[in-house]
Amino acid sequence: MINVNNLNFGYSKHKPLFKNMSMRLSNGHIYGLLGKNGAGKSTLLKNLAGLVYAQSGTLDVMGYDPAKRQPALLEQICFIPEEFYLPSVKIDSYIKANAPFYKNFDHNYFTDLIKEFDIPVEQKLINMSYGQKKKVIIAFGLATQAKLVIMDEPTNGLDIPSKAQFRKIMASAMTDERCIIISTHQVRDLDNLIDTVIMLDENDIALKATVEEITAKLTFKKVKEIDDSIIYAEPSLSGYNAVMPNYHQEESKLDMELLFNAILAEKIKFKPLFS
Amino acid sequence: MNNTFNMNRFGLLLKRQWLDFGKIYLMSFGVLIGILALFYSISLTSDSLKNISSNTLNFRYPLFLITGFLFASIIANSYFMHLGQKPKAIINILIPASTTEKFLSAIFYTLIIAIPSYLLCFYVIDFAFVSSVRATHTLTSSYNDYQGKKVVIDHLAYFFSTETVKDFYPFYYVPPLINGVFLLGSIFFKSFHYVKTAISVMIFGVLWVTSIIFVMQKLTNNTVWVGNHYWQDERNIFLIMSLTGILLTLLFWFISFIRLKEKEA
Repeated sequence: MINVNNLNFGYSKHKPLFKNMSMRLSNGHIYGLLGKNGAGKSTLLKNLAGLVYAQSGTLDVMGYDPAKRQPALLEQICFIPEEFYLPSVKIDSYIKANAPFYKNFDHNYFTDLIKEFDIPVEQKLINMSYGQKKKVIIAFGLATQAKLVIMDEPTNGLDIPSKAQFRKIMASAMTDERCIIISTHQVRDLDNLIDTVIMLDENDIALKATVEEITAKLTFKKVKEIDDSIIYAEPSLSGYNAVMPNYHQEESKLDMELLFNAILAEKIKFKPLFS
Repeated sequence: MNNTFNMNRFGLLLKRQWLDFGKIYLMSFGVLIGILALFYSISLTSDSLKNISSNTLNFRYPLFLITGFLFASIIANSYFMHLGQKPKAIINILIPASTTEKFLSAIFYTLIIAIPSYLLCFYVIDFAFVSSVRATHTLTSSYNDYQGKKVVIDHLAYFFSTETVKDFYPFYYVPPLINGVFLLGSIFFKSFHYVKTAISVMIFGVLWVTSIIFVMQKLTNNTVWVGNHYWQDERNIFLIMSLTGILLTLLFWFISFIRLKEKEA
């Protein structure tokens, strides 16, 4: 679905954000895009959607070059930005004006999502809270039936019940034809949803692996003391949360926050495991 | 699917853009009606009509030109203004319509709709006020032309029937030129679009005029014209001005289109 080859990008020529970045993303997956502030998560998503232009390299999204912004590709992209603007109209008017651009727009599904998110349909969009607006654009984006769903910090601004609803809706929205990419800092909001982790660091991809691959190669444990087998550990109330090689094929639950900190701190130690 | 232009998609885009742009347009139009009505009311009070003269309705010419310039420039400058703000730019760039369709919708609203609606508005207000004056007053003068034929001048004529307005035809390229310049300004600048565009126009205007004067003085000082009379006929001068204006308009539209295509969010 998406092929990125030798992507070079930077907002200024002296400060490159991506250097010769390459990756391949397939449909049927929910990718979690992680990285420190300024690592380029949002910028990578914008590159994929054609909102910014690469300095060099090629991007292929469903057979199209996103930089050309062709309507045939745009109608297959659902992009939920972190900051967004909605006009001062009611949901009905918004749908009437925007939905016809998407030939597969599912009005019934949209209505169901709006009900599930408990959105006041009579209220003007501009008067809604940030969280409510976000739910509206998520519902709209999913109802377009776009094959590529790109979400930048989708759970920011959602209350606790809404986060659970969001996970449920996203899980049900996943089909074999869809590719969902979610950039987030709130890894705990999404750790049961994401099936592949992409981590950005130092102008490139520091890790791209499925949750299964990660838990097959690493084990996440609580330990009392640190020994040489532990690659990375963080103190906790009852000892340490540790990451270590999974020599004995033990089953453990991926702790994404711990993995994120571990990769950033001990990149060299992890590299051979996932190369 | 045609990724460059599709009539159905263009129609959808026009409808969609009305959501964003319609309010700006209607507000500007409301303000325009208010300003025109106010100027006519102030200029055509019962006191001023007691001493009615051939100059009484002359306020309409500067009023028409100034409000016309302001309306055309503000409308053009507002259309792509949102692209300077990332949240709005993202939503607008990702609308599944081509850059050609997005650009043409800008021309549709800021030129094809805005200029005729301005003219119609001016016509209606002028008609209303001048009709009320004509109902109670008449003011004409006459002279004999070179053939000895009597020519009657109606000093209370409707604006678009006056001889002065008929002389405006060599300047018909001006509204599209204003549109081109201010549309480009709305895409080019990220903030304070109108002020920055106006300042740029002033700087370029001053530079252009002074350089033309300088060059022409250097070329023609202490010289006598010995060529044909082509450049001494004002119709030819106006024709060249119009062609230059049209070419400049096309150039500004082309640059605006490229900037729109390259706009990042």
